[in-house]
Amino acid sequence: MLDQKSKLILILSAIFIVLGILFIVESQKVGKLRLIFCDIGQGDGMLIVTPKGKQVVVDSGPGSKIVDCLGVNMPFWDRTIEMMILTHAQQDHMEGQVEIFNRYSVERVVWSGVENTTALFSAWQKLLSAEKSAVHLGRTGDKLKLDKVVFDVLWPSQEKSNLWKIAPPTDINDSSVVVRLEYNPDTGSEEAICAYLTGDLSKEILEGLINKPCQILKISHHGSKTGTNQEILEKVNPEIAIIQVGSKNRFGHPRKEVLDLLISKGIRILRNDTSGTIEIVSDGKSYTIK
Amino acid sequence: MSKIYYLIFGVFLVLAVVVRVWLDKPTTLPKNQPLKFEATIKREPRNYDFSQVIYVADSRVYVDLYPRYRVGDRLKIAGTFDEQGRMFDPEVEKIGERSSLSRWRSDLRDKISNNVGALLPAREATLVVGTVLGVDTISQEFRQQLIKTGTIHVVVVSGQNLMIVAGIFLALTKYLGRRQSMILAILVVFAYAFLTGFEPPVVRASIMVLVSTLAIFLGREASVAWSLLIAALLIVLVWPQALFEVSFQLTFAATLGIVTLGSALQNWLKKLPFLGANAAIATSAYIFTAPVILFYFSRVSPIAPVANILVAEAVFPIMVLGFLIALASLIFMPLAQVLAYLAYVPALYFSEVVRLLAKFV
Repeated sequence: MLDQKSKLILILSAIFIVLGILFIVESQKVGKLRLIFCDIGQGDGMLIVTPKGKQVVVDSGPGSKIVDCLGVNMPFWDRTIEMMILTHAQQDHMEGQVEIFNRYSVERVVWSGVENTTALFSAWQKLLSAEKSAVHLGRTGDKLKLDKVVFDVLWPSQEKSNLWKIAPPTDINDSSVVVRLEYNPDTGSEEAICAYLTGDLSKEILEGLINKPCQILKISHHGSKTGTNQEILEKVNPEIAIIQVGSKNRFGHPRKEVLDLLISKGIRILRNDTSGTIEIVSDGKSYTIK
Repeated sequence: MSKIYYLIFGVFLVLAVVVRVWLDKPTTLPKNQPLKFEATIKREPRNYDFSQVIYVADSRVYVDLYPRYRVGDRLKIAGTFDEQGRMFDPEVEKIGERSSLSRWRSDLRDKISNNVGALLPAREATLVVGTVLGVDTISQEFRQQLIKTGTIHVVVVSGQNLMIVAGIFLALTKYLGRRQSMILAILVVFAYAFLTGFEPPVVRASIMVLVSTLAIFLGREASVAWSLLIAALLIVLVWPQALFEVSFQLTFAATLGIVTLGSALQNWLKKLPFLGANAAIATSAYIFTAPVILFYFSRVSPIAPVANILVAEAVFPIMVLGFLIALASLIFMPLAQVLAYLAYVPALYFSEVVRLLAKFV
């Protein structure tokens, strides 16, 4: 049998070897854009990893399952989220962000500025100010860049936001920050991969925001019939529709009307309730689904 | 028996009586009728994926994850308990806070678990915190996988973890001398039981583990089973209801298995490198607890022994490093971070083994 000292040395060297291997494995993943739609139950929660390995979180679902998703999809030494977007202040989009604030350092937070009266929102706000992240209120026309990934903010408009300061929106879903993200490695070429991230915005507003087609559309409002119509699908002309939804949810999401519409257009549907976590990897020209 | 053994026995007896006097009488709350009451939280609430569970007397109140409630919080609660003593969607208002030793402990636990959460990915953090403090926060998926593979005892404060703690200090005999290391082991096991909240199952496990570990240590192999029996009797004297509790029966069965069949197997399996001792402990505990598990849960995980043998080697470094990380994180975070990287490897191995094996059940 080994004596204790050599056993300790053996264990330590095994640990260092594994750490080295993990480091190499992780560094292989760099260079591509990864869009990860986390399986977080009934809600929206997504992680975007830029080609240089920076992380952007968009919403984070109810509960704390998002941190499991981040734990699995981020290198173990990386404890920083470079940007976190909150589309709107509802539990099924924001609860996980509280846990993210607790566990990660968040450099920049983008949200609508439209407050909610819930205890959860107060907890979120408290942690946001303690975190000292740079806060940016997303407004139509803003262009946020991270590596070569561009986030175009399409909604809310400055005008509406000013109005909401006087009279809060009747439906907080309509204050959702909507972005189109685009990754184009060679700035000259026309080819690019892009995706619409729509929060819970209602279809009447959404249809007016879309200015060019994209391969990927995150279906608004978990596939509720309030979030999708023919015109949106025609304007976006997506190849893939992502529905972030929990199985057996009490809202009956996604609605049959929406699914039928997507099927009739021949759009491929990916749902978290049936596929678990969905990952799309792209080099800016083509993409693969994991 | 040696003098020190009587002394230890005496200390246990005194402690047992003290605990008995401290214990609250169990209260039963009425079911199926609207209630409005005030209560102070005495047990650390559990956090699952989507809800927080507050324990009140014999019942549980399910609330949203935020705001977080803690030991010592005084709450005004309104709602209805169902047949199983669960209350969903209650109205809860925090009306005060009591500072006490248990509040201080709760703060400490909270601090450590937040610190570790900031150092490691979620699953690995759960494992590290679990082996050190017993978990209050765990994802449903991971919990199910641990249960399926029969390894959940690693993240709750169990006999096995206590045995490791006692074992570490008893192994210091060479350097400290027999008596000193023994006293240290006893103190540390109790400190550990304190950190985890002195919940009756933990105290009971501590007593049983200490008695059996010490008996082995003192080289009275023949009397180990007897000592265990005496400890069990003592426990039943203090907590008569323990006799009917699964946790007590499991601890007793596992410990009995390890000190009897386990030591026999260990002699036999010694020739095998590395996994020999693990296999002896895991198999004997498995065989002795199987009837209890079968009786209560009507199924025994067939891969539990395999999973336990595979992860056993990882538990020890996770736990030792876990203690160091916990301590370091209170003093100097960068040091804790370095230690956390070291702990990450065995923790990742553990969580991957569990994830893979859970697929087969």
